[in-house]
Amino acid sequence: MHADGRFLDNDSVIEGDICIVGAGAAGISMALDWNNTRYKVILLEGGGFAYDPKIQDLYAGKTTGQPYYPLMSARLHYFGGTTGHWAGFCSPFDPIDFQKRDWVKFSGWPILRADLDPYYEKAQKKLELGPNDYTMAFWQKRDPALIPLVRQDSVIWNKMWQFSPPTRFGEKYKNEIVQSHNIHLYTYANVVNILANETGSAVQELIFKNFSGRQQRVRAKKFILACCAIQNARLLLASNQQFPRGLGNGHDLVGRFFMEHLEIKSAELWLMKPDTLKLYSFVFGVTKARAELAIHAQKQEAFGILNGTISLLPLEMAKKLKPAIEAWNQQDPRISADRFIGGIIKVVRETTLPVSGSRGYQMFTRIEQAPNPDSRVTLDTERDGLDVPRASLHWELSSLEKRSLRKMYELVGQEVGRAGVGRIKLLDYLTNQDDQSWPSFTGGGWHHMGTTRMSENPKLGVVDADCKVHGISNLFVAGSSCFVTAGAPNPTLTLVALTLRLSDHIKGLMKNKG
Amino acid sequence: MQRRKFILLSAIGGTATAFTGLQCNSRQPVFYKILDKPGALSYICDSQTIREIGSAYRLQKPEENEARKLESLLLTDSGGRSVSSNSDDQFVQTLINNKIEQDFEKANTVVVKGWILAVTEARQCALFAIHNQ
Repeated sequence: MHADGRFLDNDSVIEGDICIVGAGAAGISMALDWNNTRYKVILLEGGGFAYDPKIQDLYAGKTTGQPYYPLMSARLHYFGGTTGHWAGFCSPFDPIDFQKRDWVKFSGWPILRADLDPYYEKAQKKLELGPNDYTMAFWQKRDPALIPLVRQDSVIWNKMWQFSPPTRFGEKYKNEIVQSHNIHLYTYANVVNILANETGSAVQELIFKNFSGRQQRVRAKKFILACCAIQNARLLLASNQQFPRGLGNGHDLVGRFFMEHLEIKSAELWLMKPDTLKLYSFVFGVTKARAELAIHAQKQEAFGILNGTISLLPLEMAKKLKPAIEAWNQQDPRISADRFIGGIIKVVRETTLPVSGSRGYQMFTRIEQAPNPDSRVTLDTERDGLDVPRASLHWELSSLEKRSLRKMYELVGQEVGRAGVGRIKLLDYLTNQDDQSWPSFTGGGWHHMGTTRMSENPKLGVVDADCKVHGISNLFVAGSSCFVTAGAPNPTLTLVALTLRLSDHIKGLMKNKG
Repeated sequence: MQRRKFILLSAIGGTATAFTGLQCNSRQPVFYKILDKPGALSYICDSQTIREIGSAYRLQKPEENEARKLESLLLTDSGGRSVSSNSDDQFVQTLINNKIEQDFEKANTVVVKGWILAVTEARQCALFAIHNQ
């Protein structure tokens, strides 16, 4: 069922069993998990079914610290969320990503990779991925031409990725949601306030608004925030009428530990002889799986470095590409996406690669950011069109990211040299190990994580291992804002898996009336 | 087989003796001509780049910034044994190749002008730079 929030009677009350705030990858995945059940599911989406500039503007905000993309352009605010323009890159987190690592302060999830494994299987299907097998051997059986650059040993391994079509949740799942008898989707339903009981131990209702001037109330047994890492934090912080610090923020953690993946060109790989390096190549819409170079967990521990992966792109193409942080610089996400993606398409079309392959490859890093309490989302003094304080992002990196980056390349450089296949040349910004600065082309992956991090200890996390907000019995958070560390891969697959796990947990509670 | 060609010299006295006769170009064994040719790197870089890498290495390692020193280091195997002056090209080339492989294996690498190199090949570049100033 679907209702447009702009045409509802003012101050009406909507009641249901569970209320999901946000209809992106997390919110839609969870709602679908409850389809055809006896429970009434209320799914609130701030936008409509298509881009609306006035609604998108609600995501605008300031950024400080490490230069970042305009916030308004970094997420899509309509049904389907940012899957409306995501690229579909998927790979599961590694077991080490969940572990407490002595060399990474604030690391360590209260759950293990094994806890997510059954849900990765389900998430694969939601994202229209292939078999849930990320071993290189599996894909090599399908295509023996997938040959690794160097043999896998104790230093390097080939981390496989799969590619979603990419699934546009708004298109793919709209009918299923709208035609559902028990999912009640409300569009133009921007939640502006969460109201708790007097002690703050339970949420009583949510208020949503739109530009019609009317507002509605939603009451449910369980509430799940699934608005993305920046907006989840913003909503909790802005719900501060009863509790000045905001909801779930007794320990001043909401909004802190904002994490991104550092995405940056880092080196050049020069081969002794040309090679297409098919195992590492990617053609949009064609490639089902490819590898990126990764460092074994034992070596990460031995050298005290973060987890990351390295992708390879022929230099003939790479040298013509504009860095994302330069191309993606407009507030309007449609313009930024056109410039960025259009730039890539143009380069691909205009570049003819040698049939025998290239000699030179750009090595591009995607590396986790170490959890950092000073990298954070706060409320700005400026308010949006619905009178909610805008988000302000301070993105801050630490010296560990750069040291890790450099060490990763040293290790890969040594392996490439040892194998006798070529040599690696670091880009200038990595040559001086005392230099802690970042070059102007440093970018992120549009991956927002960590602002309501998970911990069994309320002093260290906003939500517990079941993604329930500490101290609030019926408020949960879905998505990457619950991540404790960022892992190396893009977050979508993992955030959907984590959401499906949360969904199972809430089903159990509802069944037991917990 | 090739290892038999080594004269096992002590690291102290023997090495000095072995190279005493090599200081004058006219009396250098023929294999010296391959010492300043970093084989693998030559597939990737032109001579100008190799010279630049070599010059940079000389600045990074002033204690090695001398042809005889570099030659001595290049002609010493991992066990501290020096090459006999009557060794042939192939033997020395194999020695250098092995040293490079071992350097990478043992993380005996150096970053010079961004290149992650085996210390042995960086020394070859330095020697090339000296010979082509």
